[in-house]
Order: sequence, then C-alpha cells, then structure tokens
Amino acid sequence: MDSDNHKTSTDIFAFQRRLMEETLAFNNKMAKATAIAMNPPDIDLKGTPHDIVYEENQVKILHYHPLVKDVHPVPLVLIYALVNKPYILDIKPDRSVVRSLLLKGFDVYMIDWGEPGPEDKYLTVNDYVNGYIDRTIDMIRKRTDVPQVSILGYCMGGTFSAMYTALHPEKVRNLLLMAAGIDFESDNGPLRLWADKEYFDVDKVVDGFGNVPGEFLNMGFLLLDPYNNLYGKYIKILDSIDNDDVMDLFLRMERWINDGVAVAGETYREFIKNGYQNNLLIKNEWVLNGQKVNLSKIDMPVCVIVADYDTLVPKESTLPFVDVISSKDKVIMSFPKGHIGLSVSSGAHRHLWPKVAEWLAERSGDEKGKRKKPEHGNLDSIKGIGPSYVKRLGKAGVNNLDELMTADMDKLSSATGIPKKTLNKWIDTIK
Amino acid sequence: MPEDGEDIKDIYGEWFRLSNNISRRFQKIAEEGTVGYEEFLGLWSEYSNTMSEEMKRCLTDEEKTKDLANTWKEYTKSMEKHIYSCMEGQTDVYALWMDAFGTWANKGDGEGDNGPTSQYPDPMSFWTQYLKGAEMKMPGVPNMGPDELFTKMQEMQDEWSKQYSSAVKDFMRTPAFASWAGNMVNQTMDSKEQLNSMTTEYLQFLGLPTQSDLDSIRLRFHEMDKKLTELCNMKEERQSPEKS
Repeated sequence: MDSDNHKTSTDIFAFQRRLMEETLAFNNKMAKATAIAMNPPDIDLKGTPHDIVYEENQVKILHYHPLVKDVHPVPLVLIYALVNKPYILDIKPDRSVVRSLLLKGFDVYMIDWGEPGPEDKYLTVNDYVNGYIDRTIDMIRKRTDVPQVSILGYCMGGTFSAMYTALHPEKVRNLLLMAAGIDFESDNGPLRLWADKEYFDVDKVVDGFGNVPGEFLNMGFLLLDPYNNLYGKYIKILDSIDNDDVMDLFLRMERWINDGVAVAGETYREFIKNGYQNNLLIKNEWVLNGQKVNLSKIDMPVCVIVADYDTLVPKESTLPFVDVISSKDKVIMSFPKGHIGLSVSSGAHRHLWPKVAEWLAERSGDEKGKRKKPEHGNLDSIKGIGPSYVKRLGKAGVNNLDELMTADMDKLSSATGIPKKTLNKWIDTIK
Repeated sequence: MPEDGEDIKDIYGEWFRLSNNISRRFQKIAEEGTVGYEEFLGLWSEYSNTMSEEMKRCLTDEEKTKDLANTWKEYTKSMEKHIYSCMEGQTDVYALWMDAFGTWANKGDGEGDNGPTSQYPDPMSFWTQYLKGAEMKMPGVPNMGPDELFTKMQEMQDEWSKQYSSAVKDFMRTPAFASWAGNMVNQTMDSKEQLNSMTTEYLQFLGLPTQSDLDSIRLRFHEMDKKLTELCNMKEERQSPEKS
C-alpha cells in the first residue's frame, strides 16, 4: 500500500512539475508575442516589382515586370474585390499568385481599387464594371496591341469580372473566376443569412455611413469563425513563435486582414440588394447602364476555381455559373482550402496554381511570342465604333463583327438609333 | 468535547451512510437499465460533489489523508475529462464505479440499507483499492505517466477548442444570431443618425456646411463626371467616322 501511495504521489509531483514547465514555456512565448505585438517588425509589402501604368481617381493599374524571357501574348488582368487590398495575391514571394503566374510566362496586370473617399460614395457597380474595368481593359488592349485579354477575378472582383465579360465578351479571351459569388440563393454561408432583408437594413447602413467602413465589413468576416479568428489562431501561432517563416506569413496576413478598405456606399447598397437579397445576377436581371447582364453571352473558355471550405463565398454560390454560360470550353477546379487559402496556402501554390497556369497557357496564344486573332472581331476594332456605339449595338444583341455583318440593317438601325448609312459604312469597312 | 478521533469517526459514519445510499440508487438504476448518458453524468456529478464535500470534512492534519484527498481530487478530474472525451467508455466507467464502490459498501454495511455500521471501513484502504482497480479497468487514464497525462490534457484542450469553435460557428448560422446582429446594426445606425442630426443642427446654427450639403456637391460632381465621360465617348465616335 505504501509503495502504491508513493507511486501516485510521485506521479502527481512529476505532473505538477510538467505543468509548471509548460506554463513557464507558455509565458515565455506570450512574452515574445507581446514584444512582437508592441514592436511589430517592418514588413515589406511592396510586392513583386511593377509599374503603375494607369491611374484614375483612386484606381491604379499595376503592370508587373516579366520574370521570364518569353511572355504569352494575351495579357492577364487580375481583378480583386473592393473589400480588403489586392496584395493578398502577392503577399510574399513564395505565396504569390502574381509571381507564380509571371514565372509561367504571363503578362500580368492588376487593378488596385484604392480606398474610396467621401466623394466616391455615389459610385455604383456600373461605374466599376462599365467604367473603371472597361477603361482598364481598353488601356491594356491598346498598350499591348491585342484585341482581347484574359481576366482572373477573385471574390467580389470575380462577380464584377463575370458582369464585365457578359457585357463585353468581345474583349475577353479567357475568364477565370476564383471564389466569386454568382448565385446568392445557393449561398449557404452566414453572410447570405446575415444580409437577408429580414435582418439587415442595408439602406440604414449606407445612409448612416456613406461609404461602408472597412472595420464594419471586417467584423462581419471575423464573425464567420469567431473562435478561431479572434482567439484560436493567436494561441495556435504561439507554437510557431520561433519559426521565422511561419511568423512572417502570419504577420503579413494579420496586416492584410486588418487593412480593410471602405466600399463606396451606393455600390455596397446595390451589391447587397441585387446580389444577396434579390439574386439578380444568376437570373440575368442585374441591370447596368440600362442593359441586363446576360451571363449566357459568356462564350469564351472559362475556368472556375472554388475552395471546398470557403465560408465567405461558398462554392455553391459559384458553381451554378458554369450552367448558365454558353462556353463550351469550361472547367471547374476545386481545392480543399478556404477562401484565402486559395491564394496563400503552400498547397495551392504547389498543386492549384501550376494547373491554372497550364490551363491558361493553352489558351493564351498559339505559341509564345505570337498573337492569335480572336474568333470574333471586336466591334470597336472598326473606326467609328466607340464604347457608346458598342453599348447601343450590344443592347440590340450585336456583340461582334460577325453579328454585325449578318444583322438586318433596317431593324438594327431602328433598334439602336444609328443611321443606316453609318451601319453600312461600317459593313464596308469590315469587308 | 469528544475524545480525539471520535468526531472523525462520526463523520466517516455519516459519509459512509450517504455514500451507500447513493451507491444503491446507482445500482437500482443500473438494474432497471434506464439510465441515459446525461442522467448518469448528472448522478455521477452529484455523487462526486457530495463525496468531495464529505472528504473535505474528513480532512485532518494527518499528511497522508491530505495527500490522499488531493490524489482523489486529481483523479476525479482526470476521470471526468475522460468521460467527456470518450463517450463510448461510459459503460466501463460506470461499471468501475459500481464494482469498486459496491464492494466497499457491502463490506462496511452490516445493518441493511441505511443503518449505521459499527465497523467503518478504512477510507485510506478503500481509495487505494479503488485507484488500483481503476488502473486495471481504465487503461489509459490512471496508468498514464505525467507526460502522457499532459499530452492527453492537450488533446482534450484541442478537442474542446474544436468543438467550441464548431458550436459557435453553428450558432452564427442561426436566424437567432442573424436577427440579433441585425438589431445591433440597426441600433448602432439609429444612434449614428441621432448623432448626425445633432451635428447637422449645430453646424447649421454656426452657418457651416453640413454633411448633406457636401453630399449634394459630391453627387453633382459624380453626375458631371459621368456626363463628361459620356461626352468624351461621343466625341470620339463622332471624330472617328470622319477620319475613316
């Protein structure tokens, strides 16, 4: 009996000792973490070398310096969401989507939306899609002397990219959507529920705030997984406090997460109402500049990238997209990560992005250094047809030169208000 | 004043009688086969608490007894965690309690269900026997060395975090939370609106431009910007056919 008691007591003392050791180790880690939090190291977020080739209001267009000699002829434009900043796609060299694509020979541009000022509160989705994006694409087309570009849209930027492509299919060679909300009714995530008109009065928020602050939006994102986002990850990272690589990525991510930007008030109102509350996009009923966004106009190669564990934009809200477009060449790439893991996880950079690059490379020109003509000529490649005429023709169902050539001139003239003489002149030019 | 040790003897007697009653309740429930997991946990928790309180009363200055009490406390904690983490092990745990406690109770009780006993079992030997039995019947918990026990605790903590996180996430997906969050936002915006209107009144009083004054200018700018873009496009279109 005595020896049994002695054994138990010894175990308890040993356990207590272990507990004290662990507590001490934990305290040391906490002390280090506190020191880092009090004096965070300088983080270089300049990203992959680039030039700013276009600026308009708060918007900047970044053109990345090529990293390989031969570049695919079709430029690739990255369109990120209005919320948060786009450097998540270039967070650090070994986790950079931009760098991965450059190394695969793509000519990469990225739209940095900047932060809207009070003067931008009246910007609408149309101002972004038919304004900034369209002017950016035109600038790149002109700059590179190519008729079409490829677009990779991420998150809300993916939604905008889908809209843009549906309205201007003649300017888009390939469309890649990454965790993009399209069918909001199929969205089974919390954001969809919280944004329901039964609970969320978006008018009150926009009227009260003007531009909807980044902090407000960020709180919503953090509440998607409150335990891990507000507590768990900070405890977990203590185990890696001495691992410089892990800490570097963690601190960059923290910076990015807390570096949210406001969204222009009217754009936010429109996105919530037309998207989350009324689901107009998938029904082809979202109207921009008087024209319905018809997703079936999307007929070019499409790659849809979704994350299996995405709670922000669940894949269920993206996948219906492939069923409503008329593209024959379309692929879904599903990856077992979350919304952000698609762009920053090491797994995504090992397995996903090489596949995406391969898919895109096959569709970015006949061979490196040569440009391939688009199957359908662009309307605005004809002198005299500018953006306004393109829109008018588009409303009448004419989106490319083939359709213009085969259209009934009388009907087209009365539908668009463009004199028949002008239409015939364009036809002569095409011929 | 009772003689030394007499009061402790009485406490042991009370404690034993109480424990014996609880033990028989367990036995009865087990025989009926109606106990569910939650009921069992409730009873077990009630039993543990009672025992714990009684053990405190039994404490004397005797070091061995104190050590034993601490051992028992630690052990109870670890077993409680074990029960929560291994639901499938509940039957074993229950049988363990029944075996160990039943043996002890039957040995000590010479006068029926509730009657006092003249010969109290030695609590030290009971608990030692109990812990020993537990070692045999609950492989994995009492046999754990300090490191293993610590690892087990970490695993339990991880599991707890996982379950807690999942539960909170589930809660966030409920209409109840959506409704609460919506109300919070509405209340915040109502307060902001009140503040805005107070500020507006103050600014008007001072003859300074208000938010809505600035907004109307911004709207005008926005419309002008759109108009200008439209005009630029039209100009481009008009110029181009002439060139062609």
